[in-house]
Amino acid sequence: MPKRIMVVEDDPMNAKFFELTLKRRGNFDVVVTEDVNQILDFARQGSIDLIIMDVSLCNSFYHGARVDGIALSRLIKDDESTRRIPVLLATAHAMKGEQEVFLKASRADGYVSKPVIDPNEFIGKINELIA
Amino acid sequence: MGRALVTEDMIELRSLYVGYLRNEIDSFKSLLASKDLDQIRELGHRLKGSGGTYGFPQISELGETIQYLEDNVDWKDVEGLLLQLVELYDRIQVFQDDN
Repeated sequence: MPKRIMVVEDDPMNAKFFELTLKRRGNFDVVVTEDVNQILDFARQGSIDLIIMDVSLCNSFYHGARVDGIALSRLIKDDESTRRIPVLLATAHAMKGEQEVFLKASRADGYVSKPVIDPNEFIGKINELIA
Repeated sequence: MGRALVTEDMIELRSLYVGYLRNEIDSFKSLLASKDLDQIRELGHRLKGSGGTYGFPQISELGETIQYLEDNVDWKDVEGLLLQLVELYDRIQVFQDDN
């Protein structure tokens, strides 16, 4: 049975890239969403093996307030039932030192910079996290 | 242009990306007219995060410049960035047509 990856991404082109790459090169089952309730529901159901989390989210709200991928990752890591799910942050923010700041603030398990140039390296990183 | 792996998947994605860029250029024009700097930076962030994936690193480089525009920016410079984006788009279209 293929592993299931949830992609949390607000940009349609990046979402499409992740979806095609994960399905065709990684043979993963993929769900794409930026809806916070759906994200938490999927995670709590126990059917998600890894989450790719965009840091900047324009359309995601939690209790009426806009949330970014850092806050969402923390929600997942704070919840007993979902904290085991590896979270891979994805962002086009690449100022020096930001990676460490984001990882610490989100408690995510890994980080990938956008643009993703090498799909094989990207798949390799995912396989490492869910091994 | 185009240094990324050219596979069947990438050919399909690149074709979609050209349409996406066209929409982003239209958005940029509207945002420039309303001088909405925050949204222009967001647009730059999206371009930075996407161009290189499809083999267009110049789009990512331009996106990074737009993403980090300062508050006291000269709007003539922003107009210049839009023109650069249109120029890159035109080149990408030629590249697509040749492939």
